[in-house]
Amino acid sequence: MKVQQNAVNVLERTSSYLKAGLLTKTPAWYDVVARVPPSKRFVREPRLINPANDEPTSKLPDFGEIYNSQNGTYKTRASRADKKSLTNNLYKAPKLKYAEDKLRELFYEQHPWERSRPKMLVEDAGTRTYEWHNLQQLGKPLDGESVVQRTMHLLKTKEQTELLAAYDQARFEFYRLRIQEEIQTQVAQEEAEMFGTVFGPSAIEFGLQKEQKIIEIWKQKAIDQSELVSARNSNPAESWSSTSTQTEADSKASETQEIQL
Amino acid sequence: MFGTKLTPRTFARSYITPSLEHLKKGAGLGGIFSEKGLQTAWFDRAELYTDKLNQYLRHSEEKPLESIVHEYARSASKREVFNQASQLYNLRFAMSCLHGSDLPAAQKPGPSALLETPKLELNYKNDPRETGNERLSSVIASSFGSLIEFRSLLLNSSKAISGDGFTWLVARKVNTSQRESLVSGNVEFDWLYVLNTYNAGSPFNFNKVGHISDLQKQLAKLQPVAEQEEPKESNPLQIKSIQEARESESFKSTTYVPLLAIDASPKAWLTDYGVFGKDLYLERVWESIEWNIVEQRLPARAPNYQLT
Amino acid sequence: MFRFVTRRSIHSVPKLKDATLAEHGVHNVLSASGFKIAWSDHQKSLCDKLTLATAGTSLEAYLPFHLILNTAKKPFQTHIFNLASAAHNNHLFVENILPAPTSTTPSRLLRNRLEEQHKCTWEEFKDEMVRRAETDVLGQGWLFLVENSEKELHILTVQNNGTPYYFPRNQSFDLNSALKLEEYSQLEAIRTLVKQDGKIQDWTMPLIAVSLWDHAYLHDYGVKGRSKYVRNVLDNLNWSVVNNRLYSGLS
Repeated sequence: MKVQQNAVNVLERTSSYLKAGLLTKTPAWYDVVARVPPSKRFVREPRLINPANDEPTSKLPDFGEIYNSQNGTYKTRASRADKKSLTNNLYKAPKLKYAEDKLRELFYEQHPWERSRPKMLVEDAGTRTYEWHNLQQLGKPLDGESVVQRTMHLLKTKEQTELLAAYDQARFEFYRLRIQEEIQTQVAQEEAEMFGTVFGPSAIEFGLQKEQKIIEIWKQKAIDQSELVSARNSNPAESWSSTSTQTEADSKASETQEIQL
Repeated sequence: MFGTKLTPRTFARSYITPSLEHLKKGAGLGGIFSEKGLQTAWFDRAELYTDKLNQYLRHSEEKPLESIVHEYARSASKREVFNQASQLYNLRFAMSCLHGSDLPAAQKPGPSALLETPKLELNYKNDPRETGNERLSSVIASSFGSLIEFRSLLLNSSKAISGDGFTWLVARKVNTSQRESLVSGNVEFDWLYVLNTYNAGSPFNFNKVGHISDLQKQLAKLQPVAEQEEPKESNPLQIKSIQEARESESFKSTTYVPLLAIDASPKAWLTDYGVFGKDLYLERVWESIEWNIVEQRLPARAPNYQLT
Repeated sequence: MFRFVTRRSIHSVPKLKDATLAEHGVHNVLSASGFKIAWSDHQKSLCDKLTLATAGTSLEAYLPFHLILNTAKKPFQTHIFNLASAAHNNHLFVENILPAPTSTTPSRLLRNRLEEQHKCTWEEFKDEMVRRAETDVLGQGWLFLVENSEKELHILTVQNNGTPYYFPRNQSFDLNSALKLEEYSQLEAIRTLVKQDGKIQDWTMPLIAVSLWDHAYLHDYGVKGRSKYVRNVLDNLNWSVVNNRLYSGLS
């Protein structure tokens, strides 16, 4: 079967249409596709090395040592089935496993409140590379990711040999910085108050004020309404009658009110 | 008494600049201040405050600094006197706790010091447990959890002060009038605390309850009656802000005994450590604290401290 | 291949036009090393700390001026406010002490305003500014000449890192020692205003800013020399900058 190339040749085709005058307007996607043209290599290439751990994806094991106790033989070369599964691996997308992912998961499981810190989701920047010999980085907030990256740095530079020891070191450094941060906010606030700062109404106060305004309006409305209802229900003639009938009428009025409600 | 001496002058009595035995002009304090640094951090400031104190107190009687701080703390008309006396007292107190160390003189750190990761050491030099101050270190451990926690609280509190100020280690006086020890004049404490004062603030005048409520009363008197009724109509849900509550309700009768003070003013560290050097300065301060003096200031612990 | 990468912005020290400052300092005011501490180092530390405090939050794209207004009401963001306000004030300060290419004087408009409102000449007013800096600010702070929305000129002293732009955060009172009744009533008035409604309109603009922080004067003038330093600054102002800041009715 011939390889279908219509889709990937869209740029060339459109260009010739434009040249020939078949198209008068340049399509909106034209520049973008011209800048990042689609790949035209259709050959599947074997992936010999797994990019996640830099290990070969398919390497035959050394069979010299495998001893079969049932029939007392040694397995010395790969069987057909072994070879086949290896060839399959060559073309399969390798499983990407990163230690960072596990660390991230562990960190946020241990520190669930770190998730509650506000985070910018809008990406206004490309990825920057940082040197992680410090936990703090200019332009990068201090968070779980810093701990993860610092852990990996400690492992890479052999400052720590064990993963968990490196993680612990990064974690404790992180705690120290968080302690500093926390004391800093408290002290700054206290200091500002001591110099005569008046902070604006807090979000809660503001909310209460707004709510109270609505309640005031509602209260006035309710008073007006209930006055209206009681005026409608009271019989003006009965106000001159004896007190006993008055109370009766009152209770009746209240009954009808209840029914109305 | 706190560095003030009577001078045999006939025309006026005045304060003379306090001096401390371990600080000498023309020499630094090993491991913490260079000669110039000490001149700025201590001699010049002490002179300046004393001069100003004399200037403001021209005709009045001489009193020990501490009693000026106590008496004038709430008087607005004596504010200048209080400010100078309190600053002088605080500074002298802070310098008296520092006795230097054998570390080499510090290099001024550069901008990268801001990003530096805090060290994770758990054993610091100049540990009160190793300098033979058992009583102090056990009280610190029971009040703050451990020496490390105390150290990071103390130094971080001082680091967080952005302007002038002092970070204090204080002991809270026990306040029971029935206790016999009070009659005999002994002071007892229950727990240690770390607190900050700013500018000329004093640990003796840490809560301003009396002062602020006095002012409130005076202000209420001045206002016409009609205006006073207004607040009653205000929102019943409006509760006191934390700031107001702190001014009027909390710590009404708490008094503290200062044990240790750290000067956070740039005047103390800018000369020797540069703009980026406050952290380094604080580390050096820790190394040069004389724990014996701190322990001497520590009163007896109340036997029932665990109940409070 | 083209890459369109916009970096996350970090706060950086504003570049000054005059490149000789680092070598010679500001004539009559700051020596070269004094200028390095007051501007290059101090501003760098403020900017870096500000970047650290705001990175990755919704505040990261704001300029210090906007940060001041945005965080002024929020007690839990005081440390960010402090840094932003300090960075902004310091920039104002350095702008108005940079030597002008030609010697300049206060504009007639400014002198007239002083004459009308304070019944004094600039020289007399200067004495008053020096005195206020001496009496009002005990520790660190700022001395401002401000113009309010009524076009009145006032001296404003600010403790630590207060801002002239929003009066509940002026930080003009020192509650660490006793307050005068007058000051307390002012403070109470501000509190009731803030409580009544959150929208406070304050259109005060600073005309002259003088840093009273140790970083600015300690190296050159020593502990005792602050008043002398303030006078030197006021004697050697860059009036073309200050005159421009004054509202003239022309836009």
